[in-house]
Amino acid sequence: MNQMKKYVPSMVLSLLGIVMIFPFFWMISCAFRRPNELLSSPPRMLPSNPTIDSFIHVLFDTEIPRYFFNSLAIATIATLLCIFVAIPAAYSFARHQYRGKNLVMISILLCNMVPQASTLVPLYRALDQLGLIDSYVGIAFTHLLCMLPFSIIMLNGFIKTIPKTLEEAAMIDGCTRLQSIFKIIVPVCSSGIFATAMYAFMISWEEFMYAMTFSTSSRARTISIGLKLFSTEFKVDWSSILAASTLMTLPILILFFLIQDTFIKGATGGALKG
Amino acid sequence: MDKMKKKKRREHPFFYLLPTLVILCLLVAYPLLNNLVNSLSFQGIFPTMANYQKLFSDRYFRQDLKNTFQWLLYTVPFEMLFGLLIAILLNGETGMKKFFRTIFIIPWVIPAVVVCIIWKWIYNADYGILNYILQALGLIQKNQLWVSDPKQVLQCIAVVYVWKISPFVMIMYLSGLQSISSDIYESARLDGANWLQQVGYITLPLLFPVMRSVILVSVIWSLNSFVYIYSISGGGPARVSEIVQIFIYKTGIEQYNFQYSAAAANIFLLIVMAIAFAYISMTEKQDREMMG
Repeated sequence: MNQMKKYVPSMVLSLLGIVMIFPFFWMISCAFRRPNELLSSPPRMLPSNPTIDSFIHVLFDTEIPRYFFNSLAIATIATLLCIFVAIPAAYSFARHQYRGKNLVMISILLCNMVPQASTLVPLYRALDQLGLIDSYVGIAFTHLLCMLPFSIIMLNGFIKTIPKTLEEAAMIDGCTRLQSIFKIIVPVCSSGIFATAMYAFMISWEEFMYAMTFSTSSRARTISIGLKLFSTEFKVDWSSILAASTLMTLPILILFFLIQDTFIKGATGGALKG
Repeated sequence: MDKMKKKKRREHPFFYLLPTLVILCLLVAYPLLNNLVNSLSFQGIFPTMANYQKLFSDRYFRQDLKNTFQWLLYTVPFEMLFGLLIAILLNGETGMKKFFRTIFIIPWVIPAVVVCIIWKWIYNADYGILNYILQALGLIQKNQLWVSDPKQVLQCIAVVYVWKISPFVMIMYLSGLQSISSDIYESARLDGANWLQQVGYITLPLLFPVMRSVILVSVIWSLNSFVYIYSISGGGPARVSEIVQIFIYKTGIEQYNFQYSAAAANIFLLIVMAIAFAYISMTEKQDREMMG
């Protein structure tokens, strides 16, 4: 009886695990089928004869690769901008002491709570006047709202773990504070910065509302929007849509597994302080 | 002398924060002020409450507000419970902990649009696997419409959301659980506490600080989730699953009635902020009471 009891949690976990992983598995399994096999009944768990036709169709006959590239460009621009702006801010929160610091921190956190929808229309009209609709820069810049506050908190957590003596030694040797950030903090904290950058990249990669509103043609349309349009076309080709979805998920999933542990440490530390 | 001054100015903390503050002002302060002015203008008159009056007699806006609160109720409690359950089970697991954690995290890493597409395919009324599985298990007699059924569309999309977000909740709780020393459980077991008592008297109280911030983040995220409803049902059928964000998007961007949309955006902002502040002050009080 006691022996049995020991295995109950593991069994429940396995069962829940199957439920959680099934939709992901089902996407990949269906992406490797011919369109007509998806419409046959009863459905099989695995493709009866696996094919990469859908992937080839998506890669060569649709605009998905273009959207993929757009997303890559936008997410990269946004991430670089975000990290360059967030490092000094996070550093300042970790090291400087001054009056009103808490107030500044709280206002930055409050920005995280402002609903995207409440900023949507004014931002659209401002970008329109600046001629930045349908541009990488316009979309990337607005993405900063979704990623900057959290990145600062996350980086702040990482920087706090670095002993102050390291910089103090450098500053005695004649480094200015700004120099010590680039020569000491950035190298020592590189895995934390990378994890933060990856989180920011993920946010931009999957962001939907701004990317949809601020792009009106395929020029700067991201893959999120491309997929949505693809899936609401008149004649729905599910195996191609699922193949495109798999292609969109893959880079993020690989990136995530490369730095899973640092990422979880940073994300949990950051959110709990927020 | 001049050089000294320059150096001193550089050291000021404000210098480090300036880029962040400029960006956030452009992205937050400007839109909110712009909304405020626009919402108070109506057909060339300023200031007027006409937009707000119109809004509160708008049947669709009231319906959308109700849906937004319903959405909150369908998502947050369930992601809390589900995330906590998995975290507690995982924390007790020894051998395969990392493997299971990786499995449970995957839904969170999948981009939101892809999540919506996968579930739309699973929910498909004619060819979806969900209807097939439930029929094979004998739980339903005939194919259900799921997200095309006005009566259950919001609940169905909430399931999608809970599936995607509860891994995040799980990671947060897991890190909170790992900081609870096993000695406490050990002594409780020696005193004869069973599993449920251990959860109720040790785990939950010690997890309270974590829970506090996780609930706040979850509420904000849930209120802000636009893509799930927009891309699965589009607010349909016949606007029954529409939430306030979709209302703002439709009136402001599609119909280009930005003054009306600004009023809706302000009401929505006010609601989100009110919930956040009420929650923060409420839990802070509780926190202080618990501390002593």
